[in-house]
Amino acid sequence: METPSRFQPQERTLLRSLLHSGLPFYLWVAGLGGLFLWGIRAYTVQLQEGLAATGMRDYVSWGLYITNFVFFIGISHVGALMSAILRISGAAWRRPVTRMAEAITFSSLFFGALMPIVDLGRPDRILHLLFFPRIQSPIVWDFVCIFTYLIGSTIFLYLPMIPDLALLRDERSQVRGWRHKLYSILALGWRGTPDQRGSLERAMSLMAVLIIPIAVSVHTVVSWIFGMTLRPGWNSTIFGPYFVMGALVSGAASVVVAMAAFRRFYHLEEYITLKHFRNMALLVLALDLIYIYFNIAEYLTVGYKMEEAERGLLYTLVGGEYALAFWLVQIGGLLLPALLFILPEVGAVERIRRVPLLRPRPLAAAASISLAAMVLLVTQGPTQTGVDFGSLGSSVSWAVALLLALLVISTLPALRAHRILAYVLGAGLIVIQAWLKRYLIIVPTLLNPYLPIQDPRIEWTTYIPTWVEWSITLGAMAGFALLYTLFSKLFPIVSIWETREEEPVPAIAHQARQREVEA
Amino acid sequence: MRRLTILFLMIGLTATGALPWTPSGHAQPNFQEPPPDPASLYAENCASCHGERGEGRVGPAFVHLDDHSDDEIYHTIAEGRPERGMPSWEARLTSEEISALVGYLRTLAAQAQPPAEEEPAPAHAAGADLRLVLTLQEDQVVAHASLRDEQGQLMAGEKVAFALRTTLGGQLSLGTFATDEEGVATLRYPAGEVPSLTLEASYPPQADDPVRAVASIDLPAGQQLPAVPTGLFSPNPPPIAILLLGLVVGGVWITYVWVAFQLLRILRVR
Repeated sequence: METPSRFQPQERTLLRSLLHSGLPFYLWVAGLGGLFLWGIRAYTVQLQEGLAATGMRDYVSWGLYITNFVFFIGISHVGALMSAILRISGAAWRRPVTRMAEAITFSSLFFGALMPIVDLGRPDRILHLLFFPRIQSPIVWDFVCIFTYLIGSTIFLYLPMIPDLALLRDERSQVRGWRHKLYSILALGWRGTPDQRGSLERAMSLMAVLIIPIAVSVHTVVSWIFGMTLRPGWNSTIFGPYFVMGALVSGAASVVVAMAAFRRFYHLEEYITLKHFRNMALLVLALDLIYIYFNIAEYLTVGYKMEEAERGLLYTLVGGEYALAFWLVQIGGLLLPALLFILPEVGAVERIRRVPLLRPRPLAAAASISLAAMVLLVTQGPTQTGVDFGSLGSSVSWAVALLLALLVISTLPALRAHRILAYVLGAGLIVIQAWLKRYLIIVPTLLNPYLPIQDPRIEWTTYIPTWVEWSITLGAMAGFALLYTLFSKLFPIVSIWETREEEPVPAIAHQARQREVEA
Repeated sequence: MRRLTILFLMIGLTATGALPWTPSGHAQPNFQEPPPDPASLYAENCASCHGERGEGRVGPAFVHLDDHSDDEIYHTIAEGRPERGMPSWEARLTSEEISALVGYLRTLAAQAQPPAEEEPAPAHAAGADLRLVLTLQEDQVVAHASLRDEQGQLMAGEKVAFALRTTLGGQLSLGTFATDEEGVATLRYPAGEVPSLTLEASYPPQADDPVRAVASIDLPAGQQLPAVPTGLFSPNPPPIAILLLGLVVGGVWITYVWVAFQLLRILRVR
């Protein structure tokens, strides 16, 4: 393939998003930067006061930080999934979205690897892992795996970027100054000669094969940090594959969210079409269903035996202190997204429009009136209104529930019309679920040890994260988004040369977009 | 309109998940019933842990009730003290019932006070003679605590409390054991991996100022570990395992170097 000096129309849109930024972009970066700096500020407080500045005490020694760690490492798996697995299996539709996925891997792995260091009271002692490693310790395995994966995924992000960097380097009319220098250095003098192409192909295909076992090993070892500790809830053989699957589903969902954001703000409608969203949604759906199955396998086998120590933990999760979060994860974060991915495919949903009762507007009005009546009853209470609270209250609440259920059903045809919205909503729920789920794996287990401390102080046996922990968490999330945003401004977020190889004749992309607009 | 429907959809999902009323209605206060009888409430809900007359069983006796206000007692019952095993009663008792219970506990405490004074430290405890001897049998430390009264007579059927003194001045209770007909209470404790153990025996258990006996034992190096079955974990991993791990990780890194070499070749073509 020759490298043409002129860009195609859709590529010019991409180039514009790379080189020109408006006010909203600067506001976004400033906001993220501010949050990130606030996180740094909170960390300096933690360094001065020690871990006493956090809510972590004797029982809960891994709180938000390790939750973030597992979450970020989980998200990072998408690079291996999208680029390696889909590349090897030759799925052509992957091309416009692979780099988004690989960049997520890089950014999240960077912040994920920082989190255990933040969790240390004496961060300088992280070097002891290097100088005095004990090969028996899962922490050492973790260190080795994550460092290897960080380097491997950086290489894997860089390799397919070389031809694109050369394209940008050669676009002298628009790319000048430091950008030209940067691209020239990083392009390694790429001219697209057969020799160069041979070297690149060899390197890329080997890395694609290699990165898959490395990625699987990373999250398996992360799970072993839990699984090889004798604790209720972690004492499980399924933890390795359970974590890998949880990582894949959260990572793939985060790509759907990123795709929607870039499509909207960088105007990449011609690159990322409904087809890409649909394929990604199917992928996320499949992973989501497998993950639901793993969840059932995990909790059902524990609940059936109901060992003494596991009982307390399971009760806390299913009906106790963490029940709301637990069911939010299982129903709101896993089942509901599955429905959001499936329902737009079901043609029968269209028939709902023809049922006279199921009109969204009147239903919304009726539901809000009865909701208001319910709120009035609750706030006024039985003493003020003097009515029999019980029977009236329960009939009103049933009416509200019925109306809301009908309202939800009446909006289903709208899901079909706005598929991308449904997909992004589902994917967003999965990403939130992923964080909450990590919290539920870590904190309730630490609160239910096999051997409780006798007569401890209350704060030793409870966990309430402090502002320092929330600030650092927020700062890390903002830092991740900032790194990702800056990456997309420095390097093309869609692989130009790989998309060209796919031969997306602009007319075809245009037709696809037309279809979408009509839908 | 589209945003509105989404909004309602979300409100609907949260509302259906968190409806404030239950259809059966049994948790709602009923204002027609007469005020609750605290004595029967106590017998039904509290006596199993705190004893029929508040003398304490699993839960504590009501001896320090005077130190707390009615409000504090009310909140303790309503919210419970989960860290000590006391459940919350908010969901099961109405506020009237809890208030009635607070008053009833005060009367119980007033009645329970005099016998509570008598109970700890029986008269003969002061002059009792407690000796503790530790011996090592295989991988277990056996503690013999022998108990005699002030006349030097063996005391059989008495309870002696054992505790492990921990490194930083703490104590881990190991439970109470009754003396046999020779006046000796026996505890077996796994030796574990520590170089020495310090145990403490005290009589009578839970007294404010019991008679104590302390003894230490040094554990010989040869006796240290086999208490724990090692599984795949081992303090000295076999060299073959390290070699295998090194080969795998090393292989990955060699591949990285090879990739870097390919990049050098791209650079050299120029």
